[in-house]
Amino acid sequence: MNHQDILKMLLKNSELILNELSTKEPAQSDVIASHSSELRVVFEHKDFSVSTSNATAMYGIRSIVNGRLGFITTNSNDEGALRAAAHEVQQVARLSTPSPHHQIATRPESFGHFESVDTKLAEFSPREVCEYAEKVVHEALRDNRVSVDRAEFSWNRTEWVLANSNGFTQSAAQATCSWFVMGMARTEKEVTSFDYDGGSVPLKSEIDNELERTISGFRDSVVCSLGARKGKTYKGPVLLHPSAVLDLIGGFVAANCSGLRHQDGMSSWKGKFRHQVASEKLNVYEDPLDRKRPEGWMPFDREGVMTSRHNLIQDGFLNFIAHNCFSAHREGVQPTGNALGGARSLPSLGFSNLSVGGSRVSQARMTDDELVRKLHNGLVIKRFSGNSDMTSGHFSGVAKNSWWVENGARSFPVIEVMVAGNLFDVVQQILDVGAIQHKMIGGGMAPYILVDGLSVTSA
Amino acid sequence: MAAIRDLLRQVCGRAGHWTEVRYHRRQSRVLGVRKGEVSEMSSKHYEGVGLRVLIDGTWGFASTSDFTKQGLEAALKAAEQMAWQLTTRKKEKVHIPSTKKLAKGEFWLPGFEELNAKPMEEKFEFVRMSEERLRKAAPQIEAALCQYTEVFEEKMILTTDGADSHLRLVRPELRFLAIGSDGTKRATGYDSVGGTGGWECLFLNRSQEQFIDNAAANAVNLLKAPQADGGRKKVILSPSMVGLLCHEAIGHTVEADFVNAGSVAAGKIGFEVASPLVNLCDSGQSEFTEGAGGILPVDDEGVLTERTYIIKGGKLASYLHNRESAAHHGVEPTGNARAWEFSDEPLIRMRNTYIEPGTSKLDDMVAGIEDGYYIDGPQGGQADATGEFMFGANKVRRIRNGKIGEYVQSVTVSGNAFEVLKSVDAISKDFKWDLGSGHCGKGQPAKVDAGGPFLRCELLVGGAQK
Repeated sequence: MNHQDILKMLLKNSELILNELSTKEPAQSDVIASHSSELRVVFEHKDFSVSTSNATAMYGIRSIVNGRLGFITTNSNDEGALRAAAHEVQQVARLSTPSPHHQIATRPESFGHFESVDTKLAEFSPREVCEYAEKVVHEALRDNRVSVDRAEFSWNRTEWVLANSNGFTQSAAQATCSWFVMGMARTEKEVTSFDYDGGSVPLKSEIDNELERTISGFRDSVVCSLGARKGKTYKGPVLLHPSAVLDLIGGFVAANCSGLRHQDGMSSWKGKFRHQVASEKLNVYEDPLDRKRPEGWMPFDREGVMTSRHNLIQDGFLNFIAHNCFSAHREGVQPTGNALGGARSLPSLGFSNLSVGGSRVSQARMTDDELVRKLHNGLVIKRFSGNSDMTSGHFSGVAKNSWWVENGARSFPVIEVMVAGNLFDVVQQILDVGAIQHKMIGGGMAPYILVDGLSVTSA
Repeated sequence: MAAIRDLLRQVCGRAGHWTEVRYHRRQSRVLGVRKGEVSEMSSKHYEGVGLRVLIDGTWGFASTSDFTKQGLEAALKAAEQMAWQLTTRKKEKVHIPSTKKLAKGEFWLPGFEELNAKPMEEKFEFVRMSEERLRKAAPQIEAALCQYTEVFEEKMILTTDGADSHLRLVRPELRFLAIGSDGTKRATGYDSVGGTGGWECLFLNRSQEQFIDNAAANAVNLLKAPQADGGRKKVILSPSMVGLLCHEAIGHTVEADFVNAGSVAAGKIGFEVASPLVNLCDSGQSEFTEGAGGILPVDDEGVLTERTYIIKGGKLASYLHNRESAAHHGVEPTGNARAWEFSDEPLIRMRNTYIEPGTSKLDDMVAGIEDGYYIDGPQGGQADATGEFMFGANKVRRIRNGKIGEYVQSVTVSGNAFEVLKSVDAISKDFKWDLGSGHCGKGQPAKVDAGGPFLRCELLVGGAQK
C-alpha cells in the first residue's frame, strides 16, 4: 500500500474505534494509530548479516470513564479485534481509581494533516538500501585500523493519526533514511573502547553528505582512541564534547523542566520558574518543528496538541515547564505540546530536538580549539558512560573515547578514567560555551562546554 | 492456536530452502500508581509471525501480522527478496548444520494459567496499597511509585530441518520507587523484583513489607550520605552486583558475535581468565533457587537451552552461540538466539547469568577488608569489547577495619572484567537471583536475570576528589 492508502486505513480504523467507544458509556477517548514500513540491512563484524522487511500497524486506545483511566494497545487491523479492543479498554478503565486529572486534549483552533515525505523517499527498494549500507561500511573502513562491530542502513516510512472524542483528528506522514555504525579501532597490540555514530535525513539528496560527515566522525573518534593510557586524578575544569553535553546537561535540564517531575517532588527546580538556576551563559531549547532533524520532528504531540519551539533555559533562567494533559490539569494550566510516545504506551512527557547553546551573555565566540587551549591541562569527555540521578543531580561514570589536554593541546587518549559530580553544580559552573553547535546522533545539537568542579579519578 | 500452527507448518513445508517460522503473541498488563494517582492501567497485545530464510548462505527476514495464508506467503516472498539482494554482497556464506538439540513438542512453564486467572482487582489493590504505604513509610518521603507488570509470552517455532515447538511462559515484575527530601536535598530510593512463574515467584527473596522498607530506607539514607572517596578499593559485591558483573562485564564479551568481532575473550578458550574459585554460567534454567527472570526452555531458533559454563575453575570454557556462530566455531549451539518481538530477527543474548556459590561466610569476607566498600543496589551498566566495564550502585556502604559502616552516595564502579575476576579471593555460600526486573539492551531488549553469591574483589570506585 502507498502511504495515502495507509493513512486512509488508519483514519477509518480510528473512527471505527471512537464510534465503538461512543456506543458504550460516556467517556473521553483518544486513539493513536500508526503504521511503519521499514527496509533494513545489517552488517556485523566483517560481513553483511541480514536484510529485513517489516510493516506493522499499531493502535493505542485511551479511554477515561468517569475519571478512570484505561489503555489498550493492539497491532491487529482486523475490524472485530479493534471493536474488541474498544470494549476491553473500558473494562480496564473500570478497574482503575478515579482522578479528575485524567484528561484528553480539547479541540484546537486548527488541526489537519502534516507531511514530511520526499517524493524520492516515498518508496525505496531493497537494492537501494543494500547500496547505501555498503556505503556506510565502506566509509567506516576507509582506515584499516577500524573494526565495525555493527552497521545498519534503513529506510522508514511512518504514517500516524491522532483521533480524539472531542471532535478532531490530526495526521502526519514522514519518510527518512537512517544509519548507524558501532565499532572500535584495533591494532596488533590494542583494541580501543567502542564508539558509535549515525544520522537520519528526510531528503534523499542529503544522504551522501550527512553519511560521510557522521561516519568519518566515528572513524576519527575510534582511531584517535588508540594509544590510550591512564590519566591523572584531580578536581577542576573539564571540557565536555557535544555528545557529553547532551547526555549530561541536556538530559538533566530536560528532566528538571518536566511539570510532572515538579509535581511529584522529583525536581529541586520546583517553584523556581523565572528564577536563575544555571549559569547565565547557558541556553537550552527544543524545536519539534525543525524538519532538518527528523528524529524529533513532531507537528503535534502524542495527545494531538500543536507543538512549537520552547526556550527551556534562557540566560540561565528557568523559562519553561512542560505539561501534558494530565499534569496541565493538575497544575491548572494549558498543555504545552510535550506529550511524547507512540501507540505502545500512554503519553509521557518530554522534549524533541533538544539543543544546548551559548546565551547572549556568554557571547559564545570561542572555537573548539580555543576551548581546548583554555582548558590548558585536563580531561575532555567525549562519551559519558555511567549513571546520572536527575533528582539528586549526582552523576558518576567512565569517560569513554576521551582524551587528555596538556599545555593547551590534545595530548593522549585515556582509559579507565572516572568522573563524578553534581549536575545542579555543573550547570552553575560553566566557564565557557563554544560558538559551534554540532548535530549529534538522535537529533540533539550542542557545542563544546568548559565546566568547573568535576572529580576526575584515574586508575 | 492449532489452526495457526498448521498454517505455519504449511508455509514452512513449502519453502524451497532453509526457513524458520516464528509465531509470537505477547500480552502484557501494566498497573501503576504514582503519588496516589493511577499512572498506568494498560493491556497490550502484539501478535505476528517472523520468517527468516537462508538463501545461498544469506539471511533474509520479514514479518507480518496477517495470519492468512496469503499474508504469510507474501511475508515469505519479502524475506526471500531481501536475501537475494544481499547474496552478491555476502562474503562468508552461512551454513547451518543439523543438530540434535532442536526442540519438538510443548514447553509450557508453570504460572501461566494461575497468574492469568488471578483477578486484576487484587493485583491493582496490591499496587495501590504498596504505593500508599511507601509514601507514608518515613516523614522524608515526598512521593512514591509502585508498578506491576506481567508479560505472557506464547511462541511457536518451526524450522525446515525439524524444530516444531510450542512455548508458553509468564514473567511478572514489581517496582518500588521512593522520592525523599530533607528540604534542601532530594534522593531516589528503589527496589524491584522480576521472575518467571506465578505471583508467588515475586516474593521468594523479600516480602511486600521488605520491598517497601528497602526503597524507603534507600531514599532516606542517600539524603544524609557523604560522597564516596574514589580510587582502587577492595569491595564486597552483593548477589545483584555479582549478577551485573557476570552479565555486563563477562557475558557480553563471550557472546559469539562479539567474539567474532574481536572481543577480549577471542582466542582465550582454555586459558585462565579468573581466579580458580570462579565458575560462571549462563543458563536457560533456574539453578540453585527457582523463579529466575530469564528462564527459557527453547530459544528463538528452536534450539533447546542448557546450562553453559562460560568459566570453569577460572578457565574460559565456552562462548554463547546461536546456530550460525556454533557452526563457525565447530561446536553445538547453546540456545542463546533470542528475538524480542515477532518483527525482530534472533540475536545472541544471555538468559540467567551467574557465579556458582563458594564456601566462605559473608562475615569472614567483610572482616578481611581494612578499607573498602560493600556495594549493592545495581543501577545498570555497560561494557566494552575490551572487557572494560562500568556499572552504577546506589546502596553502598563503607567498610572500615572489617566492619560495614555508613552509607555513601551512589557510585559507579569500573575495571577490566577479567582482571577483576582474577582479583576474587573469596566467594560466599549464599545464592540469589536479583536482576529479574531488568532488561538487557543490544539493539533489541531481552528479558534476562543474573545473580550469585557475595564476592570479594578489587575494582575502581568513582567518587569525589578534594
